[in-house]
Order: sequence, then C-alpha cells, then structure tokens
Amino acid sequence: MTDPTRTAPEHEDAWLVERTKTGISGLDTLLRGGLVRGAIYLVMGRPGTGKTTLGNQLCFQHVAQGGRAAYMTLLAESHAAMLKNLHTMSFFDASVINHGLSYVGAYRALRDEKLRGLLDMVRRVILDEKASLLVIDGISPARALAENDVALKEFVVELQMLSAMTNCTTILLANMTAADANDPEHTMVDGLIELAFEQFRRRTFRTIEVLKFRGTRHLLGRHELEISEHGISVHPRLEDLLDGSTNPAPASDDRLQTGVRQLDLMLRGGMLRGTNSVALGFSGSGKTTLGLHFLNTGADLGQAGVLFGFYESPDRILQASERVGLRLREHAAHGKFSHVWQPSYEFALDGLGARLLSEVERIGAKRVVIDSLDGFRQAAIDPARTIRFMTALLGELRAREITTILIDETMKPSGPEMEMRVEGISALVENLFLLEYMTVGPRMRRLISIVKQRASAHETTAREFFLTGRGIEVAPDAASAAEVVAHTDDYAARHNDKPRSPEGV
Amino acid sequence: MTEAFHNVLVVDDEYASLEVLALLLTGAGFRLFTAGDGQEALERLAENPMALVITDYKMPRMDGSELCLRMLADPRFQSIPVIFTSATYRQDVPRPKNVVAFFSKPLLFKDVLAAVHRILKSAPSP
Repeated sequence: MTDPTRTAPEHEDAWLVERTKTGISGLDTLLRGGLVRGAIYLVMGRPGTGKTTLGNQLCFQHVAQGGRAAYMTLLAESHAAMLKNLHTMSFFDASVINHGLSYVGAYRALRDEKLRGLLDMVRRVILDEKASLLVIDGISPARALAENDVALKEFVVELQMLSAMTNCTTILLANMTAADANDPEHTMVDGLIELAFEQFRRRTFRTIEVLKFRGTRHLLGRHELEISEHGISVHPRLEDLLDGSTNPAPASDDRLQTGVRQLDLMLRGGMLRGTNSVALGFSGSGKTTLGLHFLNTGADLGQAGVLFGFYESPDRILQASERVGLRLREHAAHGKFSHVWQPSYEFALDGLGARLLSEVERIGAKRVVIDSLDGFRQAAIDPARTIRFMTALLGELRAREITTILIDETMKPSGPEMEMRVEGISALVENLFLLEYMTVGPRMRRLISIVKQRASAHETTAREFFLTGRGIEVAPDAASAAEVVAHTDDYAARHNDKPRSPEGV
Repeated sequence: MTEAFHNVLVVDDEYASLEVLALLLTGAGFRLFTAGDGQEALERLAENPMALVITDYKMPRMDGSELCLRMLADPRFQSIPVIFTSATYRQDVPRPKNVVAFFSKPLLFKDVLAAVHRILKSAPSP
C-alpha cells in the first residue's frame, strides 16, 4: 500500500477548514476569519475580564447569523442573574431565548454522574437543540470532580471529538490564566484564548490574546479588548493587522489644494495626492486652522474629509471655522466633513486607529487631518510603540490614496531647537510644514516654511503668514519673512543665541 | 424506527473516536459493542449477532481491510454490512465487497447516522 499519510481522503472537503464567524468586531480579524467549525476552544481569564459577556455575545451573534446555540452552566451565576446583567447590551435579544438559544444547567449531571454524565448531557443538548455553537461556562467544577488528570484528559478529548462529529463549535470558559497552561484541558483543546487586564500608570485595559489556534494562522500578541453597551469589541494591533497586507498605491502626480493659495504656490501646485504631511508648530501657531482650510477646500471640491481630533469639541471647531469663513457646518450636513472627537484619553491606540479607519471608510474620505500626533502618543500603553503604530496607520491611509495632514505640537515656538515629539515621524511623511511664531517688538509674527516635499520641488524660503477673518493668508513673497528673521538674528546675536537663516530652517 | 433491536459494532483503535461514536449511536437507540482492532472485533462478532459493523481502516494487529476479508470468509459474518471510516484511506484502494459505505474522518455524525438508517432499513434485524 502506498503511504496513506501522503494522500487525501476520498472527499477532500473533509480536510477543508470551515469557519464560523463570531460576529464580534475585530475578533474575526484576529482569528483571520472566525472560529473553526466543530473545534473546541478554551477561553480563560480572571473574574471581570469579560468571559461571560464574550460567551453570551458569541451565542446571540451566532443565532442572529442563523445558527443555533446553547449556553451550559455548571457552577456559575444563575441564568436569570446573568441575563439581567446582559439585557442592556445591544446584542441581547430576548426573543431568541428558547427559540434558537437555550440556557441549560448541567451541574447536577456532573455531580451525580461525573464526567461521563456531563458528556452525555452535552451530547443531548447538542443533538436536541441542534446547536452549532455550545458554550460551557465554568469548567472548573469538572476539574474538581474528575477522578484524576487522565479522566479529565479523556473528557476533553471526548468533548473535542463530540464537537467535531456534531460539527458544533464548543467554547469552554474557565476562571484561570495562561500561567496554569499545563493542565490537560489546555493541551488538548484546538484553541486557547486568554482575556486579561493590563495596567499602564493608573489606567487599566482589557486585552485578548490567542495563544493557540490549531490549523490556521492568527494574529499573535495581545490586543485591546473593549466592553461597551455593544458588548465586546476587539481592536487588533494595527501594525500586525496591516503588516505586509498593505499594497502601496501607485505614486500620483495629482495635486490637492491646501485651501491656502500662496501655500499651494509654494508647493508648486498643492500637495501630491496620497501623501502624508506633518504640520509642526507651537500651540496657537495656526496648525489646526491650516487643517480646517485643507478639509474645507476638499469638501468644496467634493472630496470628503475627516478631522480626527483630541482637543476641541465639534461645536468649537465649527464655530472656529465659521469665524474664518469656512463652511464646515454645511459640509458636515452633506456628509463631506466629519469630526471624530476623542474628548479624553480613555481609548487605547488600536481603538483609536480602528475608529479613524472606520470613519474614513464610512464617509469615503479623501482627506484626513489628525489633531494631533500627541493624542496617539498619550494613548499608547508603551510609548515606544507609537512610531510602529503610526507607520502602519499612515501607510494604510497612503495605500487608500488618502492625503493626510498630521499635526504635531512643538515645545518651542521657533528656532532650530523645534523638534517632533515622536522620534522617526519625519521619515514617515513626504511633506513637512513648519509654522513658527516669534516676537518682533510688541508683535507676534508667524512664519511658514516647507521643510521638505518629497519627489517635488518647492519654495525653500520661509513666508510670513497672518491669521485673519479669512483664515490663513500667506504673504506673496519672502520679504517680510526676511525682515522677521533678520530682527530675530539680531536679537539672538545680542543675547549670544544661535542665529537662524532666512533660507528655510 | 426500532433501532433498539439492532446491534452495532464500532471498531476503532482511536479512543475518542470509538467512545464518542458509541455514545452518539447509543443515544440514537442502538445497542452498541466496541472493539479496538480487527482481532478484537472478530471476538465480539462471535459473541453477539451484529446488524452492522462500523470500522476504522488503519489499525494495529488487524486492520479494517483484513477484518472485512475474514468476515467474508466466515459464513456467520459474510452478510453483515460494513461501513469503513478513515482519515487516510484512498478511494482507489480496492474495497472488500461487504463494505457498503465509506466516510472520511473527521466523521460527521448526521451523515453516519443517515447511512446507518439507510443500510439497516434494507437489512433484516438479527
């Protein structure tokens, strides 16, 4: 006989991995398509990490997608108490309980007939309820009542076989952590998922990590998990998600107007489509106003834009834009402008990235302004991760041919000491605008320079600009900027500071 | 259907396959007997009249193919239908003539049960 291990079975379909989508935002992405149909998974975590919510949400979502589910409890909270806690969640649908979703108590079967009784109970529930998803909440009593480790191992193997033969995906929920991962149930199951808490300074985050997923690839590492009124959503790490999957868009010669005419002339026609820019400057230098011009002009031309902001509320932004004659309120009403506002740093990095990309998708944005980079930096649990995250995010926006302005605030208002607060950002962007302001006599005067515009010529001298009732107005030539710089150099010389050149920075 | 009168022998060297298929068929109303390989299966066949044998293909001591040939050679067992199951069996390998159905592993119980019903419907109860 030829080596049978090298051959396919009679029906090759038998080896195909059929997925069952969880319907939970981000989780199917993490699992690269969903759970494997008929496989058995152990979801572990300390109390409060979200196991019960996850188990119930999986059931409700499964039924909503046309499947049938059963939720089996051993020694856990009563079904009534559990449902009471869940009923405010948007996935909860009382009408499917006992009509597609059954709640079953199985502790008596376990107590009276040990693991054999529990297995038979599982068999009956799967077949009687025609369940294609089964959640068993609180597997710890099964461990406690097992005669020994071998008996428990046998039970898990049988449960795995039962799930496979009935094509019913089974989820075991266990109050334990990966540190206990040498137990039989850990080694025998098809997948291991851990829910955990992670702390950074005084903030606590929920995380999810797929430690094992037989048969298919999944996204490694810990990812942010959020529980809201919509239940659980998972925010896969953006740099893992987009790693290698982003196809760069072809370089474009199309120019996008910034909304500031003289700046467009300095750029030799505007910003190249699909490029990323940093607008760097001190607080109050006009960075946000520049961003509003950019979005307003895009919307005037029918290009939708997203302002992803951390500081000013939507009302304040609309008021500010009206004061300088921009029509963002009108554009918002017509779906051409959207302001996604993150009023605090309650969200972690990946949640922010997901929100931005989702809004970009929703309104079909061609322009994005992020105000500011510091918002992402503050949200990063590990600040060193910010640059990797931004690389992925900006790469994704570029791949979608979206033109982006990233605002970054400096600690100094002007001069060569101005620096970006996230190392490496400069290399990520094609264009860099510097907005400075300095004191000349009793007046604050502003300068704008194009430090770089990759793959294109640009004006190399600084220009003075003004914030007027029409927003940003840039001087038509460098004469006044030279005067400001000369005055500043003279001042610097008198105070033994380093003088600066009028030829850019 | 009165499956309670049908004796079914499940033969498999893989513990969980054997136990769970037996559990499921018992739950469906059959009287189940089990064996871990072909040699043990012949002993079970000699002890009890069987309506059907469900056997794995690849097993130690005596594989499913050999079991089928031994059954065909014994007038007491030659009329008993056999279902083959295997994770590795090839379609082009000749099947003994008492093999009436084949299923690739992992098995889907509903398919196996439908076949069992179909086969036993046309077979006399022992």
